[in-house]
Amino acid sequence: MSEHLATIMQEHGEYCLRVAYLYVKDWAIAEEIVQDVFFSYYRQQDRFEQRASLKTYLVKITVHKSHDYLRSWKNKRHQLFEKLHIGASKRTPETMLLAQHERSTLTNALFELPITYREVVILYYYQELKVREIADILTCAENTVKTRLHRARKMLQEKLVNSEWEVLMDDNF
Amino acid sequence: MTTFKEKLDQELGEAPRFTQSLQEDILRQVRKTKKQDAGHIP
Repeated sequence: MSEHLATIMQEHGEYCLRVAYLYVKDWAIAEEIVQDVFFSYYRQQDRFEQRASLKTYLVKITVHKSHDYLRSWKNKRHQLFEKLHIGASKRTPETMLLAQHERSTLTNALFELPITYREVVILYYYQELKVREIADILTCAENTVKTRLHRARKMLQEKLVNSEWEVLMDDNF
Repeated sequence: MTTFKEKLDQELGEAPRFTQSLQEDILRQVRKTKKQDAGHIP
């Protein structure tokens, strides 16, 4: 079993970790989530029905674990600490310029989206899943996914400069 | 044209984040649980 799990982790570990990071915005926490994902897979692999691909199944567990974390007290404490820390740091012209530049990157623009919109962008554009698969992962209707994608693209367009916006041109959901 | 995925991976860093040590930690945890489970069988 360990060999089987090792093979699966080699194939799927990297993107699960990146998806978790794009949800929680912290690599250490994303690592904890991914550990939990593969541990859950090992414990409950009989639940994996071959109807969906293993990728979709593992992304689904990653999404659910990331949601659990975002709802947790641990996350609320972490966010409070971050706010206090940022508030305490000095605002100089240099730090403000740096912050402005950071906002213009795709990652930062993505992190500014509410999770409901961010996650459909992650799953559609980054994981390149189909709308039907995303609807299954998020347990919602396909039209809901499409509506959220339209709104998310609009929000991102306002945040990104033209050259960065080009990467989101595909809107044939 | 650069895809969203390529662009985001560039920003996040192309180097693998899912390290060998992380993988070994998970396998260690699994083996430990396996042993504990085996110990509970009457």
